[in-house]
Amino acid sequence: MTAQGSVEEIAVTIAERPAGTPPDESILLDVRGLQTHFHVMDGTVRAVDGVNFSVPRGGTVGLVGESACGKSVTALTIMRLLDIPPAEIVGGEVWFDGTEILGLPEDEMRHLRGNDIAMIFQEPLTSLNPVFTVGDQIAEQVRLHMKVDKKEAIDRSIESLRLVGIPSPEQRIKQYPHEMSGGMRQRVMIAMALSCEPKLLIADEPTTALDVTIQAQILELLKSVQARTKSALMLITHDLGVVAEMVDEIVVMYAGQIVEQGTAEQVLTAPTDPYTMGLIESLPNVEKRGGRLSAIKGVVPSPFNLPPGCRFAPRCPYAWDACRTTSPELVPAGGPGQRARCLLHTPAGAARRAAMLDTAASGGATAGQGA
Amino acid sequence: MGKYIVRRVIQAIPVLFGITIVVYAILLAAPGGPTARFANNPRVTEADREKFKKAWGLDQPVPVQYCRWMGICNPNNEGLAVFISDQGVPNFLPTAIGGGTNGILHGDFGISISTGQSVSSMIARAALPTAILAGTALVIWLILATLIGSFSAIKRYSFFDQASTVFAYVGYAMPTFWLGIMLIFIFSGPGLNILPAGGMTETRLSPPFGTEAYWAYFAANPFQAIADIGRHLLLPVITLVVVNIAGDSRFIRASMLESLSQDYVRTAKAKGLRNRVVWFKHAFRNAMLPFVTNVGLEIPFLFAGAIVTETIFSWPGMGRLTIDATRDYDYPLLMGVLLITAILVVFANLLADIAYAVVDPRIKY
Ligand SMILES: Nc1ncnc2c1ncn2[C@@H]1O[C@H](COP(=O)(O)OP(=O)(O)OP(=O)(O)O)[C@@H](O)[C@H]1O
Ligand code: SF4
Ligand SMILES: [Mg+2]
Repeated sequence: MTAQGSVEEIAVTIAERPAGTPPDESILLDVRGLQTHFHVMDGTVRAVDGVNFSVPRGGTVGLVGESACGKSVTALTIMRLLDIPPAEIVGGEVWFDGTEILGLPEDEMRHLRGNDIAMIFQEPLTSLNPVFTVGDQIAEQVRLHMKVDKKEAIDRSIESLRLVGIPSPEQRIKQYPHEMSGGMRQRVMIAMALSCEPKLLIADEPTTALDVTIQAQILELLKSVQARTKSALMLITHDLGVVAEMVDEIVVMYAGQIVEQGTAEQVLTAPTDPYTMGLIESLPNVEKRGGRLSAIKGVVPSPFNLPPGCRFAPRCPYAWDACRTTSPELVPAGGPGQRARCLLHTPAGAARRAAMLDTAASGGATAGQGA
Repeated sequence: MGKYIVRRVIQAIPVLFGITIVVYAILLAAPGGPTARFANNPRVTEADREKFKKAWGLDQPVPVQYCRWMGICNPNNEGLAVFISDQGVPNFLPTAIGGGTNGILHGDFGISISTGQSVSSMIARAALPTAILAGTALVIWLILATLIGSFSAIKRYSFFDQASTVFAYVGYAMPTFWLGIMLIFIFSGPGLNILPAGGMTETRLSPPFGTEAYWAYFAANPFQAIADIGRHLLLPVITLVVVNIAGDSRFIRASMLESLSQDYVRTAKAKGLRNRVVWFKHAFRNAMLPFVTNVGLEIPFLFAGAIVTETIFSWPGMGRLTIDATRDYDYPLLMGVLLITAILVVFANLLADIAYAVVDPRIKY
């Protein structure tokens, strides 16, 4: 059941599930129709607008997209860490380990946090409390969830620091965060997240704030501990180069919606959504990490003023009239289980897509452009 | 840590020395001078004034006057010998090794012109009532301000937050003298008349506070004496608390809001900690850091005498002593009070820095 990334399984994980019933046993996290809005002074931001995806037990999923597309909000909604208000979870279900957790009472949710679902944040420099030693901060979590005494909690904290490759952890636990480098602090965050052996680890841009050389080390570490502990990983990033090496499945988000999902191989080598194609083209070289996604021309639409029809239309090289009036659904496209939110994959766009593929095959670079 | 404290104390010495010069210079520059007390007295002749000046050493050059006040010069000697104590060693040395006995350096603040008593004893007598009043008010307002500020931040925009905001601004805007007089009017006026209007003790019951007779009375009836002071404390403490709580509760609210929005608070929640722990361990500890310094700067002014409050309630403390000294042109007393205040400021700063270093591990010392 835990065979990862097989085409059949992907097809299962993203198939429609009837509301209110738990997903298949092999699915650890199942996010269905998730909608999170922020009510702010200027209006309502539909930060997450109908997101469906799932993470198999022990599986790895990458959540990719430009800044402000709703990646962090998706993760924080799953963790139920958003302040309500201004946030409001308008709709959807989140099934974790057979239980719907959006409706869970707060104290039951608290038992999941840090214990079954752990999260690593983008900012290692500010994510640790400056006035407590790192040992205190890890041991606090261990004592909370593992019901062990202080001595045992400290031993486990040392063990988890050793697991993430921190030298002489016995000394390190007595240090304060400011006595450590950014990379070290992110290791501490990872150690803390893994200290209670969670079933799911959510890593929200764990390397964005770090040096390129340290980035590689931290990703390597995440990958190895994930493989060793068999916890599932949800990796959030805007760096496609990162997900290529780290995950089995990829979910691409744009303006609060999923625009493409499929296996890593499908999405990276045979993207079917114009936005994903743009992301991949904007990478200087898939082998070389650090490619920013901002190279697609145009800007992300204002959340208060989303274009009618396809949200990517103002920036899409393939857009035509229908794109400006019809909102595309996420439909099957490309390989088995792969889906895209693009009219080209509907009957209305079929003819255009055929023409586009023809031009592409004959080497035209500006395929599909035109009225 | 010990080394840090020693270093900070040593650094304070030149500051204190500078303060004595500034205090001296300010009073020298002030119009009037010690003889101004006779300005409206037609019976004091010019000759009397000269005699007064000579008796108090005011005929000497300013540097000599300052040095005598400080205890560097010996008032008994003339010429270069002023630097020598009666025992024949430099006068600024501690008394124990044969130095002089006069001046600040030897703990001698001089003699009050108006009462003839030593300034140190007058300050010592006023210090305890002020410590009682200020200490009580401080403890109450710090606790209340911390609670109100923290809860306002945690329950931001709630009814409690809004109400405490209104209360804070009203308290902040209220002049101390007005509040004090209103309290006296309400609680000690002919209507209710349930609390004393001023003073520290009931004169019909006990001898004046601080005298030997008082302590004898205190030893005989401790509970009655404490209850009596408590009754007299009530209104001035309320006045000080209401006026001071506003700023501090706002300070803590702002500081706590800032902490609550930090990433480490989100991390603490993500660990599955209870809200209580997240707020009162992770956020609160950080919110207190800037407040420690703030309180350190507030305390000396409180102990220097809540001048207005003490005056309204006739509280026999440092504030009243300052007012009396100013009114009577009692220069030695005024200089003593100012110097003590300045020393308190320096030491409170020092304590605040040390406390900060203790609570914030990022401070290098
Ligand atoms: N607390 C909040 N209040 C109001 N709006 C918010 C809040 N948090 C997020 N948003 C909005 O929700 C949208 C999605 O934000 P989110 O943080 O999920 O983006 P992201 O994909 O994680 O981007 P990044 O790569 O920059 O981290 C943005 O438009 C953002 O402005
Ligand atoms: S629907 Fe139209 S605008 Fe949107 S991605 Fe597809 S082609 Fe581009
Ligand atoms: Mg983010």
